[in-house]
Amino acid sequence: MSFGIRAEPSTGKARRPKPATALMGVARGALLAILALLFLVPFALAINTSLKDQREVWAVLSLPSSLFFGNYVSAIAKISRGLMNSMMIALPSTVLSTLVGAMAAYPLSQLKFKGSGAAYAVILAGLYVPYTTVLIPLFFVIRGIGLYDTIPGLWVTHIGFGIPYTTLVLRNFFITIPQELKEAAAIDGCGAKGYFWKVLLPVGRVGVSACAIIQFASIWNEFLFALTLTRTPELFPVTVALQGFGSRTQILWGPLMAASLITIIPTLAIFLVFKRQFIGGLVGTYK
Amino acid sequence: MRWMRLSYQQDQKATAILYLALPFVLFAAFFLYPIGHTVYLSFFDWNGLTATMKPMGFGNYRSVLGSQEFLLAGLNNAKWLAYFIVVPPALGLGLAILVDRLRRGQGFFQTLFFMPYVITPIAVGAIWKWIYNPGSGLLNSILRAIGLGAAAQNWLGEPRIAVYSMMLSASWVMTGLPFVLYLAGLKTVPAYLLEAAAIDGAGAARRFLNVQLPMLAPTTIIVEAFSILGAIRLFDLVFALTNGQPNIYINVLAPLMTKTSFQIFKMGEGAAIAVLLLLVTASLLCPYLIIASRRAERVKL
Amino acid sequence: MKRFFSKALCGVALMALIAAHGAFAQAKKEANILEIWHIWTAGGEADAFKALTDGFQAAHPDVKLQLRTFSEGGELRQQLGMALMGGNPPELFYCPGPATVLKDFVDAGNLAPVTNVWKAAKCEENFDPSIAAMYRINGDYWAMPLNIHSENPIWYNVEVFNKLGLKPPKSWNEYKTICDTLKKNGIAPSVGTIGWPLPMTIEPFIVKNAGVKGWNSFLNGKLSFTGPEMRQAFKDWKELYLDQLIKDWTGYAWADAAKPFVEGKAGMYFSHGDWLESFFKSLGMDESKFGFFFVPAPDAGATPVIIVDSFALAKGCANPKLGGMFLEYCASVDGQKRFNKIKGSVAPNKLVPADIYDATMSKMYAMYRQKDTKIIKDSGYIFHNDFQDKWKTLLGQYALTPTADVLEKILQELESKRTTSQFVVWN
Repeated sequence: MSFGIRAEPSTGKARRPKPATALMGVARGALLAILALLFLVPFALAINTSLKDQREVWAVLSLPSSLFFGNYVSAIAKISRGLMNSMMIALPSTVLSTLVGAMAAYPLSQLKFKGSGAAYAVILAGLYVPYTTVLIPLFFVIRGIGLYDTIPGLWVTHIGFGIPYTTLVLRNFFITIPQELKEAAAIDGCGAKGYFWKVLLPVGRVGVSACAIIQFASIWNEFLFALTLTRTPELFPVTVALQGFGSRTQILWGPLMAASLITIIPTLAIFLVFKRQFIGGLVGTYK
Repeated sequence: MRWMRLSYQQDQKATAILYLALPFVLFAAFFLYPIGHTVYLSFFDWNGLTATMKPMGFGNYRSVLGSQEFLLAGLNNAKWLAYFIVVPPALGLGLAILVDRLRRGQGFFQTLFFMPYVITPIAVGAIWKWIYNPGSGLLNSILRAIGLGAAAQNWLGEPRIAVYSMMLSASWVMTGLPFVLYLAGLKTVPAYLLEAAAIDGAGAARRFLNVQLPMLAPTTIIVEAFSILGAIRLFDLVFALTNGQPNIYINVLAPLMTKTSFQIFKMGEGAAIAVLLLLVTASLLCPYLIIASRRAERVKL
Repeated sequence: MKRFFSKALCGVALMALIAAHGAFAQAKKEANILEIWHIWTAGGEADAFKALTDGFQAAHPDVKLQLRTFSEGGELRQQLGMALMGGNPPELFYCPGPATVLKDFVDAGNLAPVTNVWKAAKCEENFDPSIAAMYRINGDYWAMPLNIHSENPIWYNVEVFNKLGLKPPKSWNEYKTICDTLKKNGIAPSVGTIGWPLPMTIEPFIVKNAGVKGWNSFLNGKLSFTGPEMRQAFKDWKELYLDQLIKDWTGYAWADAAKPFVEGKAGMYFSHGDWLESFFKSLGMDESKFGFFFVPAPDAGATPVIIVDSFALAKGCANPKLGGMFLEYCASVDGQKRFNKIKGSVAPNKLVPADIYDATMSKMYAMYRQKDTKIIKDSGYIFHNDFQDKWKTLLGQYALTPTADVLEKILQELESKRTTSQFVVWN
């Protein structure tokens, strides 16, 4: 018997499209186009502003009188180090925190043991702890293990704080993977421990990819921990570096927009890479 | 380890412990200790600079619960919670349904709608502040250009509509994630079920309600979890849209807590706010997640 | 998937090695590093600070400056608190004066006194005595002032005024007439903004009704909020400020508000700091097109509220001697000249030649020197943070919803907060 996840793109349309359906199709298309346009407007504004000289910035509706790339130049000069740091922080943190989340999700979804419900509830509770609350004790913990003002310190932090997120997502995903797979693997001589690496992760790559994308996005955009746990400017990730474009009395809008647009690129790239695995996993089959 | 032929049960248990060990150690260090410390701190008066702390029983709680600022902020959190539970998931689902039917270009739309989710809050704030600026902002300028100048508002400054303006901005940012998740979720609905329903004469709406929606239950749980999370953490966006100084009518609890601890230097009072926030959300939402998770298991056919 | 993960883990291990190398290299601070934390991240302020540090660097080429900026003071203080707790604070950090915060730091034992630097730089002779008094606590000096900003001049658009035949007022009645004339001609009397600048705008009315003496009582926490002076001050604030503001003023940040002023859509910019001057210029407004005035107080002439930017020396920093050297440079004529010229503020050091100031700042300088000018202090730095925050928040609440109900509520809450809070008495 086949269960749940046989994934094919859903074909909502009936086999013989009626005229009414065709009209609906056009209406739907129009709606989608309008929504897409609305979504683009803020980006258009950002791009528009990033190409303007400081004085023209306030004329919101008009296009720049001439394409001013100086903003991008000064933005890159200011945040290139930050971009590299963000990469060095976010990539390992994403990989490791997804892994750790999977490690926690595996027993909670596949194995039966007493207290699994309680353990899950406790981990979930961590979701609702606002970062700002834990800032000061966190500082002491990181300092205590000698990782203050280091990049590995941020890895550990993100892994730790990523546990509730990743465990939740992956546990709810793994639970849809049938137990029969485990039994089949056991017959082939694969114990509970090996199952994780050999079967669960490959089969679950849809969920793992989704988790990784979300983790990357939130770690990349994270600001508070980086600000608190790093001191030397050479270590700042890009979110902290972006602070350098504004002060209480003056904000450099042009370069700020340019810099912000630049910072989207890595997250977008990760999204596109993992998306293929994501979708690829969806149309795959489960043995 | 062939000499240790564990029974099936024991193997399960040993594996469970092995795999849970590291996560739990980290969890204790990053959650249990800080929460404990925060609860402890909430019973003291401390300014974060001196070494001494003055114990004061429930005094912090009393002053927090009696302050107008806290109550108004809590009310706003409730509004935002209602918003987060309903709006981004609904919009995301709607978008997913629209995009799912496309034969080509799904990837393009996926990227387009997801992009706002990954742009930094500072930039989001700047962009939307320009859109909402009453004098020369994009929205009012467009309204005036098409003759609807009378509809031009003080979008962020007028206390009665400011929260809703911010919710619109939040929608732009937050819809992307539910959209992507629902799009993926829709693809897991087996085609044969839909075809069977169509053959039985069910129209598109029926097919949606009776086949697709129930099968989206596991996705919905994850979507809701992230949405609720957004509501509690709602911080960066409010901050960015209000120049870091939200007024009393649009403030929410997380910035209030930060302000109390780190700008007014009443760390004990800030800790009390944090504890209250924690209690309320944990008691409301943990049961939901656990029950919902159990229900997701049952959908597994 | 497994291959992906193993590749990923190799990548992670590689990065760990790189990062670890970097991390250990930062472990100990070298003896020639001078770490300074400040809030001048961008624009003219950053240029001014750069001019200062360039001058210092030229005089002391072997000192390596490590600068860290924050976008605002609260963030700086937060990180500073943690650095002090961790035992590795920066040498110098930005600290505004006169400030209760400064006193808090002193009381907590976080600062090292810089009396020796004041003596070496002869600050007591060369600085304005009221400035010197701000930095003297328990007989020692604790920070070094760099400049003086005036926070509450009333700016006016010269072209608009000339067109309507208006002149800077000498009394509040004249001021009201100006507002009425502007309104009749379709021009908003003033722009304004909500948030941190708001408390400054009620200051002139407290002084109007209670005099400079009353303002000092207010700062010492001795002026009742439910008493007649305060009530009248709020009434005046509503009539002469809140009711005179441009439409939708609550939707503008202070920088946005400058635009309608520059464009002539508003006649005045009421009670905002002199950093506006360089901002107007950056929006293309020529210096001759704007001016400022103060409405005289009952017991004084002009009553500028000042804030002073300064740097303090943290106790327990690695290289205090370097910190002292920088502070000495800050006090010097050369340092103050470089900084104030670009910052658009007035130097506290009397020996700094007055020709570095542009037309507006020269007028400001002259105003300070007038006999009947009484310099008064900014409540934001005299009140403890929690009282100032309550003051600012409740003023904001009334500004957004100026009804009699709300007024009564906030006056009661402020009065009860006043009687239960601690105030620092600065003379």
